[in-house]
Amino acid sequence: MKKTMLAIAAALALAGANPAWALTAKEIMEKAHLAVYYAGDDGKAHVHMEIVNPDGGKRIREFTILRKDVAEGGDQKFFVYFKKPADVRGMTFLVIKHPLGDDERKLFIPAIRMVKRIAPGDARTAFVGSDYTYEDISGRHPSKDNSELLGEETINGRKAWVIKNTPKTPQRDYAWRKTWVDQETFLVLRESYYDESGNEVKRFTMTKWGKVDGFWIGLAGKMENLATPHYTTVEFTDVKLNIGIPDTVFSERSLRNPPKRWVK
Amino acid sequence: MKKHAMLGLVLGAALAAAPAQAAELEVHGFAQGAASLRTDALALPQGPNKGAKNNWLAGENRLRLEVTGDSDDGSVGFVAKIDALYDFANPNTQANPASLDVRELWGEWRGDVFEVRAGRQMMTWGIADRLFISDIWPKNWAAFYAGLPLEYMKLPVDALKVLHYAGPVELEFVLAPRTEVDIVPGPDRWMLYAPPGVVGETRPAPTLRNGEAALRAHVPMGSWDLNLYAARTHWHQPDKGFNPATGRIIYPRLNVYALTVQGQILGGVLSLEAGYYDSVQDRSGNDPFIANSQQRWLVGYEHELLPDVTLAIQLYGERMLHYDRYLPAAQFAFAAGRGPKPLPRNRLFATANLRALFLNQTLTFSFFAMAIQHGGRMLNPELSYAVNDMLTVTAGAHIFTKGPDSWLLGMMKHDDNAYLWARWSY
Repeated sequence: MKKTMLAIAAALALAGANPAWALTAKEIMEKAHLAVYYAGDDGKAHVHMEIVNPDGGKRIREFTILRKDVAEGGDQKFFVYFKKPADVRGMTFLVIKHPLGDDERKLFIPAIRMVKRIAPGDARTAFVGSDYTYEDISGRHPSKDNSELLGEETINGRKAWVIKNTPKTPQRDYAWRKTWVDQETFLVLRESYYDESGNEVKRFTMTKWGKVDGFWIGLAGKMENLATPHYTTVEFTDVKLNIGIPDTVFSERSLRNPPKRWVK
Repeated sequence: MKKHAMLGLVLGAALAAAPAQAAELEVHGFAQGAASLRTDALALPQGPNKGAKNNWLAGENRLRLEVTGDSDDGSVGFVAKIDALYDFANPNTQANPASLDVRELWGEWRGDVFEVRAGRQMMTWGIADRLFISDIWPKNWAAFYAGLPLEYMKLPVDALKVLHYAGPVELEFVLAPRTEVDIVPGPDRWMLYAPPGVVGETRPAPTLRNGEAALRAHVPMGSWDLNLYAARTHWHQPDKGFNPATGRIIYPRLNVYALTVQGQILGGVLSLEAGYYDSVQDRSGNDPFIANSQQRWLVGYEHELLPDVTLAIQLYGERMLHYDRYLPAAQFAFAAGRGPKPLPRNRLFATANLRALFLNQTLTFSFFAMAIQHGGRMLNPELSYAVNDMLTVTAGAHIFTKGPDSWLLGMMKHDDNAYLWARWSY
């Protein structure tokens, strides 16, 4: 009896000391990947992006993005409908994401009414000329990195795990990154990219988050290229999750004729 | 007039059908100035401006008004894209430099499995880059060689289009009552000789019998796309038919059957296109003045070499199907001095297109090169800069090298040009 009490006490003490010990760095990154990129089975958002160059010159990108998960943590479909600037207005973009293979991308160019398949590109290529890469927008599969738990920190009043992620295949624009994952929501609060010599070259900061349709999601963020210094802010509005977007929305038909009901 | 009445009816019907709460209207457009200058100041050898030292291959200002409207539920909509055009470099001083270029003007009804679009519209078929097999729709080659924005290479078509969605399969049927033909560089601005003996052209009369009908079926096959095409059309290029009795260019009847396959392989995009061109008015192949039936094929591959640097290459071939009958007939007919040298049985085209983006993708460099077997070469470097979200400036050049005078691109070797255009969008 006494022995049992001791065992329970010991267990409680351990649990109280650090409940996080239950999760490895890899598991945290997997949960973060799901929280950031797979909230709900589908969703839509209106995205406002401001790309700011060192002189303060500003370029605006506005689009509606629709997403549908094929498999949780696996394949996803994205449909993007551009509203601004004027030279890309009406352009649509369809991506079938294969997290461990090449994505399939199709672009509709309204001026010549042509659907064009785009050669799969480096995931670290800038998305619409911003400081966000394709990978930042659609997610990097955690199995592509070696993850190591560095400790815990409180940032913006939130308790976070700090994890060092080193890509298994070298990346052209950074050597490793440090990721702050919120302990309650599993959202990425901050991410710093370092070069080989340990200089911080790029930084993501989540600036706004909230609960939408029962899921915690990021609502605004900033990606800074610290060397230039060039940065992009992004804001999500009109976010909706689990809305039952039909598969047919992610088709060539939609590229040519964007479904009003979903992109409005 | 009749045509405009038809368009008016279509738009009226589309608007009338819109629910009472009606539509949201969007108004946009752009102002654009474009200039294309021949690099050599040579006197034109022929045409209405013979002897004139005119360097201007294109010089025009456009004001685009673009209005789109959709009913709240998206079931009815219309698009109007109209350019007020001022052609300030037309060597023909008799011509009115100001005109309206109606690029698109259509109304549309969208149901669950059917869509019907009527009016003037743009149509792009096929998967190739600046080479066409399944895309039978008319082109403006003069705009293309002068370096105007690529969208002006496409000419609109007045047509009725019906789309039907049968599960994953998409069927498109187009009926165009009037045959639109290609616009090609002419001796009024270019250093070109009109073929001897040509006094004019006769286009197919705009009767229902002469109408064009085309069908496309898109069949997704996993991550690959298959498209099948069939068209009852006409040859749209002026070198495909000639009536030696009248001295006039004609546009003979043509049926086209084609297919395209496209998908991803080895980290790039593979495009395959093949077609059979059935030259209806010369099925036997022994009329040297009407194009022979042809087989056409294309293999294309596009790959990202580096981030933001993409290379696309294409190999394209045309093969005359009744060359054994064409050749003796052509040798006999042209020996009398009534035509050019007989054409070769095969023509091979190769193209390469390198595109690179710089400065946060605001600066685009592209280099397009085309070489035609027996036919010369063309190089087209271009630099385009998005100054801000509204203003884009593009500069480029066309350099034609080698090749015999009688053939594209060789016949354009004195028309090397440099072009510049700027577009301010709102």
